Amino acid sequence: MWRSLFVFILQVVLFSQCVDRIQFDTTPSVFPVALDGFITDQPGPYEVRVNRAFDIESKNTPKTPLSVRRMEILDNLGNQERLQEAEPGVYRTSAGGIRGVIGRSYRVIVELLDGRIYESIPDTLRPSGQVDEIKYRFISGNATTQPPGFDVTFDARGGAAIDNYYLWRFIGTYQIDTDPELADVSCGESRCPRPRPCSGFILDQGNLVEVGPCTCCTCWVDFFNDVPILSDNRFVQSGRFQDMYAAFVPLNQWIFLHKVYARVEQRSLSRRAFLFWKAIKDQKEAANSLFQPISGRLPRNFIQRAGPEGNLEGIFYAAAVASKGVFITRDDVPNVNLIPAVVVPFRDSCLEFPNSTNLRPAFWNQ
Amino acid sequence: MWRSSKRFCFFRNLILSLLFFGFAECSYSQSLPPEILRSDVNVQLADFLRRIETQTNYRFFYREEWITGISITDKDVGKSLFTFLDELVTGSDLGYSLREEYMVVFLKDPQQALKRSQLLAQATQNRLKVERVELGEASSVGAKGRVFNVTGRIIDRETKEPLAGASIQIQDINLAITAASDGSFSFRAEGGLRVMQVKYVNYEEKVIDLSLFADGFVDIQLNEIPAVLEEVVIQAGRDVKAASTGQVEISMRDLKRAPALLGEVDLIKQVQMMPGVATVSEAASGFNVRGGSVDQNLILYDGLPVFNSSHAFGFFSAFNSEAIRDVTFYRGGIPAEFGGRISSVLNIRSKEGDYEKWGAVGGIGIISSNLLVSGPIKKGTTALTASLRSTYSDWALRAIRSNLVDLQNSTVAFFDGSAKITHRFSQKTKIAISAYQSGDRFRLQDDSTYQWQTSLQALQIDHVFNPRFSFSSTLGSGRYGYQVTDDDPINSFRLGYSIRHPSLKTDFIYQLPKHKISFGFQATDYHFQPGRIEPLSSDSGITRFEVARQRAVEGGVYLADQWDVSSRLQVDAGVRISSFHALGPGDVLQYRPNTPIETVNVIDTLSFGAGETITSFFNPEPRVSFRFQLSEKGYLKGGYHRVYQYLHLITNTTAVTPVDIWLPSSPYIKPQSANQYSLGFYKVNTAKNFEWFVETYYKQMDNVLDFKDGAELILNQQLETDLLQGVSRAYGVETQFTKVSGRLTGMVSYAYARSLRTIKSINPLESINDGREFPSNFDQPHTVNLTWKYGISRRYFFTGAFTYHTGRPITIPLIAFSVENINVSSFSDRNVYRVPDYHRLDIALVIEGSHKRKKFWDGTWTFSLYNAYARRNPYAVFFQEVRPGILRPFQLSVIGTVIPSVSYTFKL
Repeated sequence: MWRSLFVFILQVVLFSQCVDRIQFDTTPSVFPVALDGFITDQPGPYEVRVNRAFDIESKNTPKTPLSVRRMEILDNLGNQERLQEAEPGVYRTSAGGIRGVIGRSYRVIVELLDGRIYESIPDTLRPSGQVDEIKYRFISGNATTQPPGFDVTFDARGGAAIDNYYLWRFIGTYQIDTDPELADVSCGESRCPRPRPCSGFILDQGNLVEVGPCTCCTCWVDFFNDVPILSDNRFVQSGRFQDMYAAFVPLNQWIFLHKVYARVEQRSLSRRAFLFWKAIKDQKEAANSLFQPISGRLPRNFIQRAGPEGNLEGIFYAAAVASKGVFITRDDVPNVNLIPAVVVPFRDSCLEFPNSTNLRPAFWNQ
Repeated sequence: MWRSSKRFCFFRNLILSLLFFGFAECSYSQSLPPEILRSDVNVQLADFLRRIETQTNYRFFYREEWITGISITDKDVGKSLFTFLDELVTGSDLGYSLREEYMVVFLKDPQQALKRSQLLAQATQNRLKVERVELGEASSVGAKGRVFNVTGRIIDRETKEPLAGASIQIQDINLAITAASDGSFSFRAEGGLRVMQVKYVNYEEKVIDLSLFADGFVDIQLNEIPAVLEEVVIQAGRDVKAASTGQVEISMRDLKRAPALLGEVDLIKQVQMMPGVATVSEAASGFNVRGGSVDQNLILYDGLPVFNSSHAFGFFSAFNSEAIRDVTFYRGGIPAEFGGRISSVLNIRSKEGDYEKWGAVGGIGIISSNLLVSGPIKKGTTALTASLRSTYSDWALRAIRSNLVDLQNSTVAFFDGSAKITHRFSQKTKIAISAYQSGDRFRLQDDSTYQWQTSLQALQIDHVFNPRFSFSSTLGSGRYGYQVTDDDPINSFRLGYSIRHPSLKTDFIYQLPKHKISFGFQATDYHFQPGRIEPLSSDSGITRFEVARQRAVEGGVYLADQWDVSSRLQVDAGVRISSFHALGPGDVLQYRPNTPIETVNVIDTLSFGAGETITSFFNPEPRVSFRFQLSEKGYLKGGYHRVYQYLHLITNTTAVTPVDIWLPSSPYIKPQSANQYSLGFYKVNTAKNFEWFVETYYKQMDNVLDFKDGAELILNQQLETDLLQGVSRAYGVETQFTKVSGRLTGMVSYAYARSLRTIKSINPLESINDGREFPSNFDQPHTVNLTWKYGISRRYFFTGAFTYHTGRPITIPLIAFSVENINVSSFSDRNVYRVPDYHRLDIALVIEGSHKRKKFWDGTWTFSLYNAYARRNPYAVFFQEVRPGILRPFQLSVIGTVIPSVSYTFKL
């Protein structure tokens, strides 16, 4: 009887737990502007993006590019370059324009259309170390929680200084082949062929006719890790970072249609930029945790110089960059039969894949 | 001089009988009273009364000196005896009464006698024990106003254990004192008939009818309270006359009667019901006192600090209520004896063993069971008590079959145990060896395993040099530590933290007639292992790393005096000189002056050898409080204290987590300090059985710790680069009404309290809320608490508690934007929103066993409903990622419905 009683009451406790949404009256009257961009020691052009922040209660993730009246990158020696709007909300330096130099500090000045002027806190470009080796290991996974794929890790090297602040971005690139000439549309109760113009095919009297090269049949798609990888000085040994975890590359039909290029880019950061990225990392990692830190506010990096009061979110920073990549091929999969086949062809432009391009990357044929 | 000792005894007995039957019945039916004759003129009153005695049945009782010099005059001739006496006493300090139609009793200061009679009558009415004690014979009284020394000792009748802190009130002269650590007390009072009221939590109150006509010793033995007697959970008001501001003694007995989550009696939750005490969420660990953070509470167990007071992340207290003898909580005037935490002191003392017979007390609950055994190793001189509480939640978890939650690999286990051996070398010397151990293990499904442990050992010696001078010394050692382990092969690791703290504390008490002087010293040697991580397998990607160990010595010397300035005014004043030394070995980074403390600003490193002083702090801590009796029932109390705190809990979560760490002050982490001012009015109406107080306070705290956004607090060698220090102020008003006796007893309290912080950094962008003042995490302006106990019958009680407080402040995500194709949420300024208000009702039915004092088995059933109306109060507010980078606030209600429970306690 006691056992039944214990179990009953514990079940009451355990299953009475509930998660409820808390609603706060939070909608800001004006959504702030967000800016992000960086300058490196590599040749430009460099990009700075300006968007309007959006409500977390919105049903989608809208990007609202904003044009600005003026945007300039300046260094501590008086060099400067005015950026041009390459596409809505995206500002670029010229190809032969300003370039980051180690030891100099850089800042951006932006003047919004409403007259507000902001200046980023000067950020010093610090020397980068290097990525020594990219390693990968096959994970067979299990049927329920862990799909098969590759764990990608890397070894890297920084300086010997106490403040080894690094950001690593993982970029995976894979090639996809699609069939945009087979695209169709709904016509009555059936579907009618409607080849994409970029496919090089047209529909002539019900027949597909090739009239030119396909420009959207083969693309290269980038994918990233959503959580930034940051250095941790606690685990630095002689400036070396060993077995740093980069990403998991799942074994799916598109990524391993041919091969995947796993690249790790190492950026040196100032402490200020590091703390900004760390706040993002913490926010990602703390999501859904009961013991989240009290504040998830991202550090502010802009000082307002003129105009009506308002915040500018985001960051502009300077970073020296080093990178290294490695191909993971189908041959690396212990059993090629584990790679799913593309059963249903993708009958649309390959550019429909997020972060895709039809320009073959320079490293692809290495 | 009394006319004769025989007569005096008769007189005394007569007085007693008068007191019990009241003064109002002054009538007689003897033949007409005699008249004053012409021949009586110029006769001394004493001679006149003797004449009446020889000629009538009237008998007179008085002291010669009271009527010396009084003679019969011409104007008195012809008056009846009682007309004459009436005129005689009018306007004088004499009075008289007539009993049994022939006894005329003269009284000096009749109001005091009346008051005394009322006190004794009331004690009888309330079924209190009245014990008569005679010191000397009345005939020994010399000159009027002679003062006598009274010493004594208060002990448990059965265990002979001294009852330190018991209060003694000499009611008719408004003198209040407390027993020293060995139970001794002393006072001086003018000779005469006195009424002493002796109280101690969990013990029957006793009234001593004291005939004080010589110096002497009073041995007072109290019975542990039987269930039938009335008491309240929190006994603040009962100690109004004896205690300093904000001092509360907690009744363990009623604590056990209160409704509790899953039947687990919880001392900490009882503390949280007091005005001025708050908690951040449902079942959170620790408590916040008058705007202070959780780490600002000194929790002592047998004199040693406890760094984690809870089991299972705060759901249950780490202390087995059966093993606790008494608990005193100081939220206001912290005595000079204590130091090291700036907001409160919770002083827990464990039970001593029974010196006379073996017995056991135990409890069976839903989550855990406990057993305490106690008895003599050598009868009368050596006693042992040992307790153990352990959970069987692991077994129960695995018994649950559910498709919703996989509990098979989960663990929620805890235990605590204590043991104490006491030995009396003599009536004057006692030694006690005690140990306490607690441990937790928590693992949910396949996540990391959390373990944390506390262990304490103490050797205490009490010695009484003479009735006025005693000392108590405790040599102890403690350890607190946690481990987090993860056995995932790729990242398997063990993360650990520990603090070790051997200490020595010695207190002396010297009692003078109007002074109780206490002094002593304390020293604690802290050894910190701030963090260490190591891989658990060769495949693990974790690198072994250890934060440099730290050592520090905290000391304190104090001197305090409890001074009875007058019968109405009592002043407690003292000073504590605290010191703190951070010792090597260690490296201290030197930062460029006037720049933010960041590694980029490091200009040098100073190395210190083992035992070398890295930094020192010396601080005076004045403490003063007073109690002024405004009227018979009203008291004004006030106080000021300054306290320094040298250890800090490093956390950036709202609720305390088991992986938070304690660290010492250092060159870059300054000691916290608090200056608190409090003033209160207290009213005790014994006749109407209620007590009421209102108290207000203002507390200014300096160097409170906060953290920079994005701070890394675990395994951080340069922790100072992630911390900020600022100022905090707290203020509020607390009021409480308590009904202390009767069938229905209980308490209702309300507190208005604010707790605000200002954190500014040299770097304006690192200031919190741009350096503006903001509410602290535990700023809860309105708190209402209600507890009650209703005696349905002598064995059945209906008890309950209701609590309400304003939701705590919170920082929430407001907007989102993209950075390099990563969506991120941006949060509001710190603490500008609030979680929903908290309120909860708990009720319980307590069925006690028979109240026969001599019985083999005494059992009590408690049936309770926790959260009776199923309020979904937040245990935690967290932010769920509804889409990549988009966070929205959700609340987890761990207790989302009514939780029934049943528990059984027994005593052998």
